[in-house]
Amino acid sequence: MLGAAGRRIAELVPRAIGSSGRGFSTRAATGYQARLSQHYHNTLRDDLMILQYVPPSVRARQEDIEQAQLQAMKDNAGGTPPSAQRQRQKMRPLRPAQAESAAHNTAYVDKVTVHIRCREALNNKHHLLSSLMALQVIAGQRAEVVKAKNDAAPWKLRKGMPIAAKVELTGDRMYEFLDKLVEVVLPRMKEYSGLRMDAGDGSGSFTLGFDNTAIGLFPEMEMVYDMFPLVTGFAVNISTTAGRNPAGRLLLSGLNVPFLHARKVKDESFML
Amino acid sequence: RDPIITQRASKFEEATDRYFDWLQFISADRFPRDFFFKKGSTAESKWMELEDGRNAEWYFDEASKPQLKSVKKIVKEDEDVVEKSEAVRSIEVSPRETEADATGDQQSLERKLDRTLYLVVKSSAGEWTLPQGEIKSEELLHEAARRNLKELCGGRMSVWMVGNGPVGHHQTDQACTFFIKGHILSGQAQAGVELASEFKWITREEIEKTVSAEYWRAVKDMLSTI
Repeated sequence: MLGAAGRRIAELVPRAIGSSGRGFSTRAATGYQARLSQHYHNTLRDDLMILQYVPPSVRARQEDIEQAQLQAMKDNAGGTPPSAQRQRQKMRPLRPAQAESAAHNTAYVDKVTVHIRCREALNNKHHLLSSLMALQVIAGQRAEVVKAKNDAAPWKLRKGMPIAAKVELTGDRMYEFLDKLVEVVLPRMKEYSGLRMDAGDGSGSFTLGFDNTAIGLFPEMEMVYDMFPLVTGFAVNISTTAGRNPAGRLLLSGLNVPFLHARKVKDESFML
Repeated sequence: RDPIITQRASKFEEATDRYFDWLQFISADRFPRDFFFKKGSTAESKWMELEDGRNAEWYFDEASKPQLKSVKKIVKEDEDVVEKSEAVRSIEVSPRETEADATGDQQSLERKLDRTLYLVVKSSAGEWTLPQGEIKSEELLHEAARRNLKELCGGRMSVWMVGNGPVGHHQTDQACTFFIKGHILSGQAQAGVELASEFKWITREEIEKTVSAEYWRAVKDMLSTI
C-alpha cells in the first residue's frame, strides 16, 4: 500500500531492536528471564492460587444454592413464555464454569498490545511513521501498520487505508514493557490514580488509555523525544488468561498496577 | 522471605541465550541512524563510538576490540578529577553474595538473596519446626496464626498473610496443625525468654536437614523449590 515510499520506510524500520548490538538494547541488564516474569512464576502465581482457592465443601454449598435458585425459577415460572428474541438470547453459549483454582490454571498475562490510532494519517499516511517509530522505541520491537477494515464516511476513511500502528508483545519483552509502564511511566503521570475497580471486559482483557503527554515519560524516549514530529496518545491492552474480571484484576494488582479507590491499608496494620 | 534478586541462568541456558542473541545481532536490520541523528553531527559520532563498543562484545579476537576513547576519561581541571564521560554512566552492581552468605549466618534475612527463606523456630522440647501454636476457642485460624507468630518471634515483624485459609496440614496423634502462608515485608524475628529460644531463616534444602523426617514429609510440598 505504501509503495516505493513504503519500501524506503521499511528500510529505515529495523526488524529487531532490542538485541544487544543494535539500536536500543533492552536486554543489556536482564540476560536471563525478565524480573517480572520471575516474580510471577516464583512468588505471585502461588499466592494467586491460594487467594482464589475455594474448598470443596464451600464449592458444593455454592452449587447447591445455585441449583436451588434455578429450581425456584423453573417452579415459579408463570405468565407468558419469553419472546423469540429473548429465547435466542437465553440460548447464547454460557461462559465455561470456573475450574477449581490450581497452579496450572492460575491466570497469567498472555499478551500486551500497544496501539496508536493516528487521526492525522487520514490526510497524510506518512504521519504514521512517527507512530511506528515511537512504538518501536517504547517496545523494542518492530511495529506493524494497521489498515482500516471498514469504510467510515464521516471521517473520510476508506477500507484498506493505513490508519494505525500496533505492536504485540509476548514473553520477556512483554514483562519488561509492563515493568517499565508500572514502575516508571504511571508514577510519572500527572493525575493518574489507577484502573477502575470495575475494569476489565469480562474475559480477561484490560485496556489502559494514555494521552500524548504519556509517551514522553518512557525512559527510551528521553533522548529522542525531539525527533518525533507528531506525538500521539496510545492504548495498552493487557490480555490475560483470566476468565472473569476479579481474577484478572487480582493478577494485575499483584503485578503492581495501581487501582482507583483501592482499600488504603496502612503500613502499620501489617505489623504483628 | 521471598527472593530479593533474580535467578541466575545455568551455564547451558546462558550459552544458549548468548547464541540466540548473536543470531539476532547478525540478522537484525540496520539501525536507522539517519532518522535519529543529523549526518556528521557530534551526537552521531558519539553514538557510533558507543556502537563500536557494543558490537565489540561479539568479537572473537580480544586483540581486535576497539579501545573506547570516551569511556573512563579522567580530565584534570584545576585539581578536579572528572571520571567518565556523561554518555556512559556505568552502574555499580552489588555482589550477589552478601556478608551473611560468607559467614553462613542463618539468622540473617540477607542470606541467599535469590532463594525463598522460611522461618523455623526451636520449640521448648528442642525440635525445629515452622512457627506454630494453639488456637483459642473464639479465634479464627488466620488470627491464631498471627498471634502465635507474634508470641514466638516478637512483634517487630511486618507480615502479610496470604488469604485466610491454610495451605497444608500436619496430622499427629496429639493435634492437627494447619499452615498459613505469609510473607515478611520488613523487620526481623527475635529470640528470647518469653519467645522461642532460637530461630533460623533457611531454604527448603536446609529445612530437610533440620526438621524431623516425619515433619518434613508433611511440610515439604508447601515449600518453594526456588
